[in-house]
Amino acid sequence: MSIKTVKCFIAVISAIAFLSASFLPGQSAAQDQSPIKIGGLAILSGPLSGYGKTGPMGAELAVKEINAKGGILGRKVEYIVRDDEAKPDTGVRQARRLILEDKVNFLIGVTSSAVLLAVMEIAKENKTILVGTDAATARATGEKCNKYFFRTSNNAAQDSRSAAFIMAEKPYKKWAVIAPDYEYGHSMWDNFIGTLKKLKPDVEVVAEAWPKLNAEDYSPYITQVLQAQPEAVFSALWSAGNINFVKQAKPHGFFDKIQLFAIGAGLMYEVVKTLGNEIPFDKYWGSSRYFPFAEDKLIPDTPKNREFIEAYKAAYGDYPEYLAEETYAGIYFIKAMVEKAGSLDVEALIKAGEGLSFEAPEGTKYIRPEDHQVVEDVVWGRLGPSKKYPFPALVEYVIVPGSKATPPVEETGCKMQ
Amino acid sequence: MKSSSFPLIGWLLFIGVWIYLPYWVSAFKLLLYIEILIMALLATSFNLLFGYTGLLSFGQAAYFGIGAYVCGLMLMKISSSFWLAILVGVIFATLSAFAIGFFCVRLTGIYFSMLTLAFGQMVYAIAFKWYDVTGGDNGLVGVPKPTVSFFGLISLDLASPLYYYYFVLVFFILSTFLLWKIVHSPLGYILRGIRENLERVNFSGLEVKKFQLIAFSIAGCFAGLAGALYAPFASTVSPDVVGWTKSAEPVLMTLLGGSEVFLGPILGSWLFLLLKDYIISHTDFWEIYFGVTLVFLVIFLPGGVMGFLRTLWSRIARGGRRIGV
Amino acid sequence: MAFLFLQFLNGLNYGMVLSLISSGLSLVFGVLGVLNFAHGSLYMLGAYGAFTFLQYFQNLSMGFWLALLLSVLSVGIIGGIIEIVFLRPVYRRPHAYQLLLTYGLILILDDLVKMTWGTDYKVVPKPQALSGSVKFFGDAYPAYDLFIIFLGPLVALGLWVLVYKTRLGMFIRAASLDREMTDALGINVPALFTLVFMLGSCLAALGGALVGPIRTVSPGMGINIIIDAFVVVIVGGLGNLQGAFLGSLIIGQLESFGILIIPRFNIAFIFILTAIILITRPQGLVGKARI
Repeated sequence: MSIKTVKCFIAVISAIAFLSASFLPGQSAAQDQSPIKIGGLAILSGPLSGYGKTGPMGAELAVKEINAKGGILGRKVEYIVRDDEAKPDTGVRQARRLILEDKVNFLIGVTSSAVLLAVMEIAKENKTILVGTDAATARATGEKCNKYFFRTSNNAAQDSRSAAFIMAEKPYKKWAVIAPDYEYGHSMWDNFIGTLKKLKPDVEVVAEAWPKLNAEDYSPYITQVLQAQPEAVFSALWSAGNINFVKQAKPHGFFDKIQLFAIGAGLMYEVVKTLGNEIPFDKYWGSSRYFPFAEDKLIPDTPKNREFIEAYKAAYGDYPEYLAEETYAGIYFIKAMVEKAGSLDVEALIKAGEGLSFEAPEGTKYIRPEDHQVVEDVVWGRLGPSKKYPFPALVEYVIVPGSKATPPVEETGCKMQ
Repeated sequence: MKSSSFPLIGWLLFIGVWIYLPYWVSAFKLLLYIEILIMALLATSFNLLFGYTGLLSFGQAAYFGIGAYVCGLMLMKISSSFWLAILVGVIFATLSAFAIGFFCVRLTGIYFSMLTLAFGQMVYAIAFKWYDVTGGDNGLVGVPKPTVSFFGLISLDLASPLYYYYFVLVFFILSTFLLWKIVHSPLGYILRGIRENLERVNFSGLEVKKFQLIAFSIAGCFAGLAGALYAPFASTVSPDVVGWTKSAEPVLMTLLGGSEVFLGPILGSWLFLLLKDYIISHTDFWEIYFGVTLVFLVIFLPGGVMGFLRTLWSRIARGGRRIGV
Repeated sequence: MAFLFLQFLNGLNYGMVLSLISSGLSLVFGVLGVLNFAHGSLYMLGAYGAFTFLQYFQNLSMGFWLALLLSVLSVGIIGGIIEIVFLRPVYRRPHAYQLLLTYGLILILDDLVKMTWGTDYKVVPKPQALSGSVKFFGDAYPAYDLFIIFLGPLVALGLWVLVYKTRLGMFIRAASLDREMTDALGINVPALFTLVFMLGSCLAALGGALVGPIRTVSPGMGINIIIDAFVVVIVGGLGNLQGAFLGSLIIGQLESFGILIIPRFNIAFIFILTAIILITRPQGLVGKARI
């Protein structure tokens, strides 16, 4: 390398310093005719893609409905979805692509918590609003919260605290846990047992089993938990983990020896559909962000809910996974936010989003202004064989009001910037 | 490739293309090119081990990850000086490579590869579990983009992708130049000797293990530098950048570009990331396209794209004389 | 005591599943010299195959076993095609290229599976006779898991007899020691290689078909198991059948009892073990004895 090269390099650097402004991503002025673009991030490849794809399916349904009714503020809506592979570095790359290349006005989606936290930084960096519809880490609306991020689905704290209020009513004192050994698992358990101990101080924990994330063989953990003879077991396994666990635990006599099995994502449609009548109906208490299928009626029994399920079935030939409903609702949140703000100015949108209430198939969702976390009812219930649906449906359920399930703002650690 | 045949002109052309690149590409592609530069540096460092010393490391992401985590932690918790953060990151990566390499170079062939994989996964486990320091499975979130000053004369805010690009480019060019020098130094010839014929080098009285360990540490050092440059770029450092799927990337890139040619891994990273970006944005089933491309390359272009180009070039160059033979 | 015994059985069960998969992996490496990354994908195909064939024989009492057999045979044929089309051109290349090739095959097979079967989880019902439990000291243990524990050693024994006590096995061992010499003796080495790869594929498929009823069948199940199988093969000694069996037993028990001793570090168990073994015994547990 010669001195000349170095000189040339410095010259170019300084020349470009003047021009650089044109390269920086500018907020394009809102043109009234162009469509409003929403960029989706979802898991579209790899083992989780079957479930991951239901998010975009819900979003596309919402966009189709909105466009059929004239769009938002008279502008069409366009939804572009990209694969984040559940990997933070891909999520970062794809979020940047959506913002810079596809010029989206909003980002929506994200299933993995690690990807969500990474993408939140990109949203902040580019002053773009991100609507979270799946990832459950409480940190996103807690210590890591930022004003560009709204979450319209429940977080792990809400999912698990709500269970504690129901379980405190039950007579069981000896509890055990089986949960995947990463943040979601620990956060679910800490919030559940912390709340339960406050409500019922004589509760004791007799065993803790922490299989690694995506484990396939749970037999050693099943034996380990049974050894401690718990009355009830709390689980935060989800999707394939939950299915594997139930299939493997049954012939170990697991469900004969315990009185109750409470599982955070136990009402995930995919899980209920796959396990079917293998679910130990009398012991299995589960929740989901959205599982409206009770044997006697829909929860909630509203026209909006009915229409959503019908439209979804008509479009895709299947019942909606919770993720489809949450992403569908997320698109309607964007609609409500834009209509309230009356423009696409980001600061105005953030103001409009704070404290906004909107209707979703699963009921009213209220966005708490202090941490941008949705506050909504949580349903926990017990399944039974169904005559109405091709999969088991709820035969007993409790609705925990959002105000009870959600930790107070002071406890979240969120300092909005 | 002979060292004398790629002189100043070659280097100027090579550098010139990278310098003018931002004029030709969109804002997003510019960010993609930053990543390409970083990954090209990682792949080139990997190839010092693979292409020149004959050691297939499956754990190169460990040093990349250590560089990224340490640099990120420095910027978040200790000092806003990027220079210092990079330096500390590189030192940690080099030291870990030295310590791990000490055990690995005792093995050969696939056993060496498996030990590097095992150590790599242990580093992954630490990153995944040590919540207080690494943020556990969520990783370090919110690594700030620093402002760098050059001896207090000019200061550049690296929040601008353009400045970040040039900042990385300077490191990239200096590093590839250094690696080029290493490869064409007496050390480089000893390493190639080890690759070609381990016993002979042994008989000539040189301590093979010592030289392999030196190569391992140098590779770790540059991988750490790549990682340190990556941390503020991505804003987040997650355990994924330490795991074996990340370690597979420099391997794929190098084989794609060609391990026999110095510029092979650089071309490979460029092809890998652009190809993947192109395919992934056009289909959900990108894996099958990518897999077919890989299989095709291995069967039909064994020397990688660079090897193919070189063979093509030598055929064209000799073509006239070969006619009628 | 009963608890420790059950935990031991759990370890044996996982060990036997691993042994089915890793013996095929090890056999292929020992003879062909190819470390087959796509071995896990063949395991996945085995599970999907069992699921699909079982749809046709649902009402037959022997339906499960018929589906298992057909699945294993079809994956064997697929393996043969893979060997002839993809592996033959790369035998003389360095290991890295073979790994790259088989990595490419993983991507292709995974997507083909998604295109064929979709991405939702598939359920393979257990055969009726094995759906219950067996009582040990008053504790229930799944009959199906016990069946796998008994089947594992039988398959390993059968493989051992095939390789060490038959004429075909002699050819296989000869080819693994010196390909050229075997060729010179008038044995059709390419055909032998194809046969060995088919056998390896059948073993992977058997593993996959057998775990179908106790695990979810989903795309990506192959990639989850392949690293464990690699570790087993390395720990036991590459290309060594007894080593693969021993390695499987050790990994199985490690996963089973390790969680009782250091419960929160299961993510790194097998890698710590690999490192210790490779550093102290670089050729794996079962020394230099090749196939």
